[in-house]
Formats: sequence, C-alpha cells, structure tokens
Amino acid sequence: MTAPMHKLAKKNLTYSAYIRFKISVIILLGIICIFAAFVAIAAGSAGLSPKEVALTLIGHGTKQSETVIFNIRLPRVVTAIVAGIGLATTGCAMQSLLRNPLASASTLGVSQGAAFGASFAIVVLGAGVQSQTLDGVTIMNPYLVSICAFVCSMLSTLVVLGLSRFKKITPEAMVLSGVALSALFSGGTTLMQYFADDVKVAAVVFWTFGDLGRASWREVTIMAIVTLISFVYFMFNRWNYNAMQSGENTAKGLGVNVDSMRIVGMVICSFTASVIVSFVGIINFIGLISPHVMRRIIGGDHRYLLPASALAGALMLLLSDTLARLAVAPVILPIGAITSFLGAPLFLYLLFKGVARK
Amino acid sequence: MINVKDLNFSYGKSCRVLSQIAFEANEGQCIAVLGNNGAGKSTMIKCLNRILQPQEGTVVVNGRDIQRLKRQKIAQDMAYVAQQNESAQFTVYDAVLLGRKPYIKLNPTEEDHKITKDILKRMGLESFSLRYLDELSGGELQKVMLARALAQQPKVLMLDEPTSNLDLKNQYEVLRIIRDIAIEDRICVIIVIHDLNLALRYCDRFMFIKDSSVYSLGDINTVNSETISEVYGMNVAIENIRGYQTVVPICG
Repeated sequence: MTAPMHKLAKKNLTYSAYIRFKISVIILLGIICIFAAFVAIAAGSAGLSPKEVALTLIGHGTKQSETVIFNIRLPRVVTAIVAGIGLATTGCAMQSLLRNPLASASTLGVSQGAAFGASFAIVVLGAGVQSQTLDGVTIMNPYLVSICAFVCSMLSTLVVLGLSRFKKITPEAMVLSGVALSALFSGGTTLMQYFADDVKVAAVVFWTFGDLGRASWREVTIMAIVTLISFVYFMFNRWNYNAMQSGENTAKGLGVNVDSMRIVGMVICSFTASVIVSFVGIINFIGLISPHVMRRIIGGDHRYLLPASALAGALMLLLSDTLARLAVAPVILPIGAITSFLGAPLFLYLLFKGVARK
Repeated sequence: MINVKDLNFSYGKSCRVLSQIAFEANEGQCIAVLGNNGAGKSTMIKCLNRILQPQEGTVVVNGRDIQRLKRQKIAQDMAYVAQQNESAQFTVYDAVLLGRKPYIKLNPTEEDHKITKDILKRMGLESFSLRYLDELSGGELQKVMLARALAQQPKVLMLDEPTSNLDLKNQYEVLRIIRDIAIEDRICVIIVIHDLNLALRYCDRFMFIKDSSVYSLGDINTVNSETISEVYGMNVAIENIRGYQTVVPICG
C-alpha cells in the first residue's frame, strides 16, 4: 500500500471518498500529461514562443511554424503518448496475467526479438545504411527493418505459447522460457554483429537505442489503433485481472477462465508491444515501472490501475523524450537511456519509501 | 443440494488421486473432510467446482450438472477458499466486492455494494474495510477470504483448511461463524480440516478419505477409534469431556 492512501484510511474515510481519490489522481495525471505535451511541442531549437505554438495548434500559425509543429513535433509527441500508453498497459496486464512483478512485454523476449529482427534486416538482408555527419547513420529501408523486427518480436511469444500447447506450463515456466528465448535472440544478434562491417553494426546499435522521431503520421496511426484496441480489451477484462491477483485457484473459483484468458492476453500484449518497438526501437523500462509506480499510489484495483498506468507511461515517455531532445541540443540522446535514467531513481525511491512504512 | 457420483481424478496418466468418490450432502450441513496428508482431500474439493477437471464423474448442484455449466455460472453456485491466500494490493472492501465478480457485467451495481457492505458487517470487518490486505493478521485475512466467498452467495461453500494459520481463539471463532452461516443461509459447507476436535465441535457430517476413496461418511458416530486408527494409523481414545466428544491420541 501507499503512503497517501495509508493516511486516508487512518482518517476513516468512506469507500466512495477512497474511489474519488483514485479518480482525482487519474484526472490530475491527465492534466499534467496535456501540460507536458504542450511543453514538449513548444520546446526546441526553432525558436517558437508558447503563444505562437498555441496559435499554430488552433490553426492560426505561419507556414513555417505549421511545418515545424505538424510535421515534426506533433507526430513525435503523439508517438510518445501512444507508445507510453501501449507499453505501460501491456506491462500492467502482463504482471497480472503472469502473476509476476517483473513481467512486461519484454519478459517474453519482445525487445530482444525486435533487436534480432532489426539486425537481421540490416546485416543480412541489407536494408541499407548511409553515413551522415550529424546522425551517424541512417537506415535506407526502415519498413523492411520494422517488419523483420515485428516478426521476430512476436516469434518468442508464439514459441512459448506453442510449447504450452504440448504441456500445461505454469506462468513461472512461461517467464523463464521468455528469458531463455531472449538470451537466444541476444546471442544471435551478437553473432551477426560480430561478422558485420562497422557501418552496419553502427546502424544496428543506433536502431536499438530507440528514437520516437522515427514514426511519421502513418506509423503513429497504426500504433494508436493497435494501442486503443488492446486498451479496450484490457479494460473489458479488468475484473478478471483483479481476480487473477488473488491467485490462480481463487480466480477459477470466481468464474475466470484463467488459461484461455492468459493466452489471449499474452498474444495481445506482445502484439501491441511488438508494433510499438518495431516502429520506435527498444524502450524497456516504461512497461515495467509505470504499473508499479501507480500501484503504490492508488493500489492494485485494475479498474483504476490500468488507466492510471497508461497515463503514467505516457507522461514518463513524454518527459524522457523532451529531456532527451533538450539536454545537449541539438544532439538527441537515446530515449531508452533517458527512460532508465529517470525511471530507475524514481522507482528505487518509491520502493524504499514503501518498505519504510512498515 | 450436492450430489457427487463416481468422481475420478489423476495427475498425468498414472498418478491416481481420486477414485470413485461419491457422496450426497444437503443444505444446512457442515461436512468435515478428514484424512491423511496426501489422501486427496484438497484435490477432491477442487474437482467439485472444476478448478481441477476430473477425468470422470458427475457433480450435480441444485439439479444442475456442473460439467455443462460455464465457469461464471458455477461461481454463482459454488464458492471456494484456498488454503494459501495471496495478499494482493487490495482494500478489504475491494477484496470482498470481488466476490460479486460472477454477477458483475461491467460495473458493480448498487445491489453488489449493498451485499458487500452487509457481509462486511456480518463478519465484523466494517472497521477494516479500507485497510489493505497486506496489513491484516492471518485471522483477519481468513475472515476476508470467507467474506469474499459469501459475497458469491453460493449454495455450496468449499473451504480448504480454513483454520490452518489461526490461533486458538480464531480457530473456534472462524468455525463458529462458518457453522452459523451454513444454518442461517441454508447452504452446504464442505471443509477440509485436520483438527479432529474442531471438526467434532462444529461439523455435523464426517467424511474420511483413505487411499483415494471415501472410507466412511456419516454423523458424529462415524468418528470412532476404529475408523481413526484405520485412516490415520494411530490409536486414539474418544472421550466425553464436559459434554464435548474429544479425540485423545494414545501414543508412547
């Protein structure tokens, strides 16, 4: 439980006040997200004032400001929001489905699979790299890379589920199979890099860093549709996830079809995460910690935990990306590193503060 | 109320745990399921509501065959409380409200909230309702799990060692609540239990399980020193102490 809730409970408040607290946290997060999105759109080297940005957003901008905002900054900001929501909600669902606090879509090998697929496309299929002075390298055929990344990131989930058809395996065994397959993919990636030339290795490494600027409106739309569908599915199953939290047998006793729900849920989680990772590269930490942070603030009830985690993920990714762009502008730092730099200390703080309450 | 016929269950192909289990029980009855560790008691109650899928046999509750029902429908008739309970990050109120899961379509109705509140009151948990489960003692947690099962408004309530983590006072209190519920709500309660004296005090039917089958089933006279010596492999005397039948182990 959480420090703020602890105080509320002590005050002997009613259940409806307790629910109102959760709803206000979600609304507050939403407002902060909107504010952070505006800051992210306004921030940058083009020298636009907040007023100009606001005018442009409501359709009264100059041609130059419209180009900067609608073609460059807005897709990037929307990508951060969509990817944050997608990664955080799939992490939240996976933690419940596999009953494992370390679970996120990456646990089943999504990230390592994507890295392997991207390497394969760049090194073996020759998706083409071109040297540039500022960015280092640019990939010529991003679609081929994304498709390979997507196929390989789904592969390990399908292998785990395939294995579970022959023999009924426990959630622990599923997590461990995911770890094993991740190791296999990492090994494959390393081998490919070992035999590839410098430029290609640089391209692979650059791809795995993750970059929200890779997605244009078309990719953003695909990600948004997939994320929306999976979010609706998760919300529809919120009571099932609550039941799963109480143990497998208890969930079955409460009328939940645990086995089929786990399989369908895992496919949806890894599909959503795969789509996101194949478009923007590897962003690991968001899916793991957003649900944990929110669980500490509003508790484990998925009716509120799912939307709260979604907003927390969006906010964290937005802040990380803004920081990545501004810290040593005009160089854009790798987003995966920034999410870890911001997320890890926050997570440790909450973890130890949480322990101290006892 | 509940009618079980020829229930067979095995883990894998060779490890048979239940063989030809058959019994009947009626509303208002509190049945103690007794037997050695590994006799198949817990497995049996999990087979009744298909937490485990029995290979053969039928379970009929209120005239309906459990095999033909969807899980959600089964959960409206039968509630199960596990031996080990996970203390997730839920408040007591939400944990009990979860018992309404088999009836909830998208959101809990006013009635679901009313039932939840009534049960919290009945179990004396009102003052805890906003406490988190991981802050409760073993006895309090056990009562919450029982309250959740009652929120399902079951006809058959199955409890797997409900007193195993409780101190002396809580053991008697929890079992007394369970017996009262069986009588007041006219439901059938099936309890896996190790403490014979607790069972003698609060249950009215006794089922001994030995070698995967029902060894004997009946009223308090079923619990005699011959049966116990056969089932548990231990000599006991059964004496009446202050009006209570009491099992006294005799061993060196």
